[in-house]
Amino acid sequence: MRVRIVTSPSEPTGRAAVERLAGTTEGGLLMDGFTVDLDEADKACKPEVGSLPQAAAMLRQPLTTLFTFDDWAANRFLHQFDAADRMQSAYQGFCDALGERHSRGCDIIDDTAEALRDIVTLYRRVDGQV
Amino acid sequence: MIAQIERIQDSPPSAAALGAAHSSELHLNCVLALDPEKIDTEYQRLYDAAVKIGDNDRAIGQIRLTSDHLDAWRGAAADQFRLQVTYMEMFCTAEKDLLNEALRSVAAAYAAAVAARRSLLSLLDATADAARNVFDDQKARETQAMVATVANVVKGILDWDPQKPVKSVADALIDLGKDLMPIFLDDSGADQLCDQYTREGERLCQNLGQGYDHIQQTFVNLRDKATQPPELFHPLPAYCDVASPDFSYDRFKDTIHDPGPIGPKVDVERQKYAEEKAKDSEIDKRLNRGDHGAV
Repeated sequence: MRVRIVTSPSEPTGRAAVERLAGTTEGGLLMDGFTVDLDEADKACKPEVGSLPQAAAMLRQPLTTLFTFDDWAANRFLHQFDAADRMQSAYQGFCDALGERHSRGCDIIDDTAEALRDIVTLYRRVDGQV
Repeated sequence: MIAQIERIQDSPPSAAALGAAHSSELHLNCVLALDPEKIDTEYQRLYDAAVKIGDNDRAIGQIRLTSDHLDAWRGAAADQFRLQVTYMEMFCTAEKDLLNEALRSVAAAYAAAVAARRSLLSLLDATADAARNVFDDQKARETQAMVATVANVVKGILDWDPQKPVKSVADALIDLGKDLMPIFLDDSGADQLCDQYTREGERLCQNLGQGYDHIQQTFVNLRDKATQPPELFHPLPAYCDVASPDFSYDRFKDTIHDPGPIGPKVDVERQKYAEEKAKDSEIDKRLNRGDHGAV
């Protein structure tokens, strides 16, 4: 078994690629470098522990703050002021809009992770790893 | 204060006195409508949310790490995923900016509520002292009230740099003194005093209303900004989705395999995988009465 270390100057990262050449068989494309690259991509998208799922989970934590609203009124039975009510209503509208936006952003991060997972799974099937 | 006026007149209260009595209830309604402590609590909650979203080093770190994990991959789809990661970080920054601007407006609401309360208290105290002067027929007491121009207080805070939100709304009151105006109550007569109190109280409430309206508009503007979709919300191109026939190895490849030999194998497997996913999605839909998000 021959081990060849290839350094490609055209690679922006300049990283050394280790290529193990095995006898090729029908569908037998066992390439350690490919496995390494897939495993690296998997670190980005693996459920719960991947970098993207983790980021989405962390960013979801403050969502309840955005969707929860406590009335600023001192005592509505005693004192009312229309301008104060309008201001509060506008504030609540902003919080709702920002909460929706933030929730969707977190969902898109999860969706991106899922799209990457599909690619990793597909390539592992092609590579005979699954 | 009204009792003082009645003592002075020694007769049923005049129209001016009744007007002042009625007005004072309206003034209290306006000024006491909001509880500054509740606004303070809200400010702290929003501040913590801003930190967790925008200054969340761990979340930003995970987002940046994603680019490193995709470093080996080349092609249009790989580039789109890396771009998406950039948009995620931009998204966090934009969320934080929106929250910081909102924090500024909440601080302004707090300052307006506090300034109005302090001003009305000062006005009532000064009017009471003036009333005693009228009753005693001597100018024994100071009759100066310090009343805030609330609209200016609000404007001053809305001019703060939103990138540097204060940790505590109490900071919103540090410069309050510069927006206080002295008002000297007229203690030459009861009716003159009542009329002046009524005018100054109404002016304070109008000013407070203008301040709240200004803050309301900032929240409306922020809501409009929040509804604008960021770059992150634009869907990834179809060639990033394995379910799409536009996906190919050439668009998401590494340096190990040349597209030539492996490309057709990927395409064959892709079709099988896409069909399985479609079946699973249909089954899941029927079981759960919902669907998964799609890129």
